[in-house]
Amino acid sequence: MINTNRSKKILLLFLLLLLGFVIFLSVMFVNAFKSRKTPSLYTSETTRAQRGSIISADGFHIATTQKLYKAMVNTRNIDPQKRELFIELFSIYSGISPKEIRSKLKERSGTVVLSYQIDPKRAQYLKSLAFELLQYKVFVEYEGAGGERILQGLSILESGETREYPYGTLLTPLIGYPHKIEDDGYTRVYGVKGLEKHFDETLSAQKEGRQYGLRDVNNYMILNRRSATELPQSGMDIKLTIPVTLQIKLERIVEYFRSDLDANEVSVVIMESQTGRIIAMASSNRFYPKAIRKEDYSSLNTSAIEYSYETGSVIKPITFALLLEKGLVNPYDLINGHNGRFRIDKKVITDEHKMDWMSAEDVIVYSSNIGIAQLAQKLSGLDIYEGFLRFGLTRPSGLELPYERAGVMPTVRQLNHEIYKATVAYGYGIQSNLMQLLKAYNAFNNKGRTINPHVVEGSIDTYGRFFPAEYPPAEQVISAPTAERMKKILIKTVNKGTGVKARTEGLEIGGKTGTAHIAEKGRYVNKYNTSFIGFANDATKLYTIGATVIQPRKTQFASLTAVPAFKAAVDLLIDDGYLHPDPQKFPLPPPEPKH
Amino acid sequence: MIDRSLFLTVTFLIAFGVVMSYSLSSYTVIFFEYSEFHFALRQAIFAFGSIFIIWALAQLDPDVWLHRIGMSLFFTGLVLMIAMPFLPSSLVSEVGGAARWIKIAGFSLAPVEFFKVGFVYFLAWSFARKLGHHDNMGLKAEFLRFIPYAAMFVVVMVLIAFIQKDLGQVVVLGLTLAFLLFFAGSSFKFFMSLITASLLFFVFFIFTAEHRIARIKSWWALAQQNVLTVFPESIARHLRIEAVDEPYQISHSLNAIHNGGLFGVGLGGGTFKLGFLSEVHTDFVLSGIAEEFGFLGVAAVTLLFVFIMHRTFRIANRSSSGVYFLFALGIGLLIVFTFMINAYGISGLTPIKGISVPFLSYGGSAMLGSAIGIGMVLMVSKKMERKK
Repeated sequence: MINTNRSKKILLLFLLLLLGFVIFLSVMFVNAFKSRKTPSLYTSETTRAQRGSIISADGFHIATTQKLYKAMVNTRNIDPQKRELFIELFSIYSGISPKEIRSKLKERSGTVVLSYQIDPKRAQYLKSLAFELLQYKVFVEYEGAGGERILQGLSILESGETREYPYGTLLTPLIGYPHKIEDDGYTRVYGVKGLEKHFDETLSAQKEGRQYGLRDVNNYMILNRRSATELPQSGMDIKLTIPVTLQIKLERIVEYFRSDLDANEVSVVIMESQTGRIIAMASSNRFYPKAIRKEDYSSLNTSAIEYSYETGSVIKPITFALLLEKGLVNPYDLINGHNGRFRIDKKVITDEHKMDWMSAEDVIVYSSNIGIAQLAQKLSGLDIYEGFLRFGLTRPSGLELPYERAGVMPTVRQLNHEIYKATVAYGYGIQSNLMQLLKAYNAFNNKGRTINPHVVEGSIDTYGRFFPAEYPPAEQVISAPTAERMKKILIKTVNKGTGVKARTEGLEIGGKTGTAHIAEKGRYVNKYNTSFIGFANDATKLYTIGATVIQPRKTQFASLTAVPAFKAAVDLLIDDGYLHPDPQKFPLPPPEPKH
Repeated sequence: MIDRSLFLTVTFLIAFGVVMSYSLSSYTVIFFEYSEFHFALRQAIFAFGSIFIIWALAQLDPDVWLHRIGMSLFFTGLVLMIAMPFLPSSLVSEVGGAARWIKIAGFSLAPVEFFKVGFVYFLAWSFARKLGHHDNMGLKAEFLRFIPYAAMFVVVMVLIAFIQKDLGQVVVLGLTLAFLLFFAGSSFKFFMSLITASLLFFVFFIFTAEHRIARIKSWWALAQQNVLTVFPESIARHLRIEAVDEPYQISHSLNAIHNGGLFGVGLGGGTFKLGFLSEVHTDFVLSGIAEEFGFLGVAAVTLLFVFIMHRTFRIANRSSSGVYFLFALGIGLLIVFTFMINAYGISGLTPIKGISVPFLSYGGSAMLGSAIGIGMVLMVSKKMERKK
């Protein structure tokens, strides 16, 4: 049966089939080189850079940023048989009640956002859940309009950031508060007040991180030599000079005094005299930056710099220092007290503490308006103007906060009038804030030098490198001997004069009270602000401390309002080990009986 | 003298298949949390088994063993395929309503892959005995002597197409049957009428179901891009239909081919194997090779198959006995048709049939089946006549 044509037939078959192979290869060749719209082979991921934190001197994160995630699910991918399983598991992983999930899923068919407020930890859990659900076929493919098979399942994406204040009202209003802005579907935070505002640029995220690489069908990135990663550059952290442990106690103290004195506000600031580092800065009026209520509006400002007022007698030592510096007065000169009532031009000046003749330094010790008014006449208007300016009055204090109110001073021309000289000398007609006074008084405790007060130690970048903050150098505003002289007078004021309530055994304490009428609509009314600015030193440490009480209603005397608040701050410094009393070195002299 | 080059070619393809089963399964093993070597290891075990079987079979004397092995494969395969629908589900794995595998000692084997070789042997044996040259006996007489085979083929078709839902295999077996008939002595006229009849049957088969029409349409929408370029525009205009979206698998197969270009993206570097092509290590192995080794890689593989065709046809041509001739030819056709249906499928030329590439695709049964076929051809090759 063997066909004689067998070879020919086989050859023919071979050629026929060969043609089949050639057709296949031609089609392959065409497909390989014909232009074609292929899906993207690459995928990229953006890691959002975060706003930096504000960290206390003792390492507590007072203000931090947390990423928020949203969970989206394509309802059409959920196997109807396993819908309840999905709801149960999602509920456990997300902490959202099954009821809520069920109603969200019913909203529409397709992509549904289950939550926008998922924290990073839960987001991590949910991401692994999404993978597991895919494994267990809870999500199934469905066919799209074009016949493509769609499998999206559960996706967890960054939706924004939120600013967290884990310690509530702590350090407000200094810390400030932020605002949210929506930027291309991503919620960002920026500072509008306080440190958040002043350091907004430093804190703000610098550069988004990006990852780029080949992908698989589910858009998972493949990290190999063809992928690239750029790390996100988050904003820098701000490190404060204030330790939370001290701050929190001082805040309790000012709160106590505010309610005890029935005042509008009590503020206390404690600064290291040699460095200008503020180690505590407390206001009785605070707020929670995440939830600002209408009644918080009056608390939003940092009164230490934003409340500028006529400060009264606390100005007297500055006037006196100018006189001393110019050699126009000797502390032992005798001054006529005019028995508490004295007329300059048409204005009658009175003293709370009536005296006839007194030494020049007792003008400060017993806070004599009449005494300082007469002494001030020895200065020219320009002397006063320049001198006060040199001490920092009506100049921005330099504290790292926006919206400082620097205050106002009469013009040189006005200051040439004897009545202006007199009133400005004891603190009327001139406005300043607590921080300026603190800075000025610091000269008395720091060899005549004022220092830029500051609350920020420096910044820390993403890699943990610390960059110390830089401040203007100290200014020599009076000579060291003048400062020493003034210091003695202020110590005497505490030991024997208006500040006796601040006396503390074993410490070197000085300071000056101030009580000032509040003017409303151009007239002085029966409301007062009281202050006590001074210092407390032990053998090694020197602190300049300022306390103001705004509108106390219980009593208007500084000696009964601001001084006790000052004294409480000093006691706190002792309790917390900042000051170590030494009765040998600083014995307590007996208080002098009143005249 | 055993055909050494055929043995080496097949061995090379099998080895390459193991490498590709490692590279192309990289997404699947992660997705199903298998070990990295899950597929590669199994493929390697079968590869060593297959190569050993080829070698062992090649040593045997065809005059004694070819008949024994061929007939056992034919009847065992047939009995198993008939029995499969009645076997308990612990023995038969069913995927998507198609019962194709029997579980034996931890492995799943598809009887059809072994049956195919037996089928070819049975036809070769029977045709060589019963069929002679047509001697212009007339179409009717030729048809009458074909009836028993037609009846057997219908049984086989029912078993494979409807119970195992494996239309691709039926097409391969049908084509092999038709060509063997022709080479066994049927007239060209009879051969052509048989081909025409099957085509008509196919058209009828397609138009009796809506989803088959849709499938053909979606295939044509894609295939026309390639096919119509050879027609003049006046004819092409009438044949062109509105482009619809490409079928998902074919679309990604073409993406993979395109991404590979001339030289490919390199072994292991493919993207479309990562879940886009869901069966890339089995039915779409050629697309995977196209992506990682480019057009040149696919061309090389194709040339190897052309070479296999060449060697099996050469063995057939030089065989002394009619059975050997028809058997060697049949096995060559079986491998070539299987490759071609797959190749045309992945390049969008024909509607895809779930059929794997001999030696390259992941899957133990297909590899063992093809290996037995090649082993038996090598066995026969010893009886080749020296050049006439």
